[in-house]
Amino acid sequence: MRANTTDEALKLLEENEDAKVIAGGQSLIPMMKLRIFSPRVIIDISKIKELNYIRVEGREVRIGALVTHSEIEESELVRENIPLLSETASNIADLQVRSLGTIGGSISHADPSADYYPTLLALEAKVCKRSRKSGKTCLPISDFIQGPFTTKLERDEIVEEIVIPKYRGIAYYEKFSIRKADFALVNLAMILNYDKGEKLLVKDFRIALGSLKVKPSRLIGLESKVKNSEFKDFKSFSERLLMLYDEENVEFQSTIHGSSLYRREVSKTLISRLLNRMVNDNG
Amino acid sequence: MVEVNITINGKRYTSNVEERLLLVHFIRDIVKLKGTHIGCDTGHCGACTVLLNGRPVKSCQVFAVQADGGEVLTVEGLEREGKLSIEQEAFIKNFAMQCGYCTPGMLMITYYIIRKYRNLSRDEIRDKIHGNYCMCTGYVQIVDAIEYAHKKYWEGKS
Repeated sequence: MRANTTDEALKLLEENEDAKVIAGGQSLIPMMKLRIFSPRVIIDISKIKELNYIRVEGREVRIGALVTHSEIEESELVRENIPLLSETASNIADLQVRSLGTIGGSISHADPSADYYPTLLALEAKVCKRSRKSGKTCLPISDFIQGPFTTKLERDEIVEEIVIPKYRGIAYYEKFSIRKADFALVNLAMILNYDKGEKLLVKDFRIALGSLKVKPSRLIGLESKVKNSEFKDFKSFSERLLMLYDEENVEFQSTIHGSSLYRREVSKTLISRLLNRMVNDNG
Repeated sequence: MVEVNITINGKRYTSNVEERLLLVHFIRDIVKLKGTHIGCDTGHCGACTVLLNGRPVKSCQVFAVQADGGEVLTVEGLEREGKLSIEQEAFIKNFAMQCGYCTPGMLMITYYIIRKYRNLSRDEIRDKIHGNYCMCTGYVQIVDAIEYAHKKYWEGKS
């Protein structure tokens, strides 16, 4: 069934018990082929114009649920205001998948190794959803995500937009997978804001990881241990950070693609790689 | 069943299809254009790549109904009046195929990236085609061919 407006989509969702929403279908169709899902009804929302926009409003960028990864990757507005998001989008799967896959779809599907989650968590984005009953509700992405393939999205709701504060500071996204288009074994986003005089004062530091056992999360404890601290230089900051990270004993998901322990080892390499990039780029 | 209208290589096709029909089956089994291949059928290999409304997609990962009203370009649409396209010529000149199974998908992604990007290094080419698998060539000749096609295309523009 096709919906041409958000209202139509929500009505169809209410009327059909066993319905699934399709936008780009780049996760849903493969899962249907594997018979992981066999919905009786599919509601195609991909033609809804009112969910397809990128707007800057004040200090935030608002991205409609139906904007594709390619559109985000190519958008000047996104590149200017949140370069970390452009970089993240350009890392998703391959060109063909990015042509159709949407940000709303990726967020709703909530694959544990989805690329957007670490970035949106680090940027403190909000997710806005809508139902006929309760209208529009917005919540922090850290509340929206509940676990692997599990979110606060109810059966009769759809994601309407993602609201992201502008961020032009130092920020990186990195992932590791065996083959380029495979699901990430580890993926993470890191943000740093500092003052450099005699010493290095870390004013803000955020690190968010995907592919975790429970759900993609920021490491708030680790962040608070380095925030507002002074370090001799970048090198001592990164050494300290890696040591603290090791102590966190972060638990990753264990799948046939990689055990939790293996992923943790990979994550250390990725973090030190990112820190090296930070040092190289920012002296 | 539902009626869909899809324009393929400039010609409009209308058909009543099952909602679950994939675009690749519409192209191969209804329109009978057999150039678009099905490789893995799991969305990995890119052999079924076509252009949908100007962007590359894996046609085994799109329902035909999603392409309703859209424009598709397949490998059969590359040749013009009996003359091979830049991409096809580049692949022949550079021996960029062995078994040829991945070639239609490779040609379509080539068509897209040589027009889309003004500059393309060999590394960038490899990055852009990572959604297309070739199990024979080891990619070296394919990258050669894309580099060649890219050069030819932009020479023709200046």
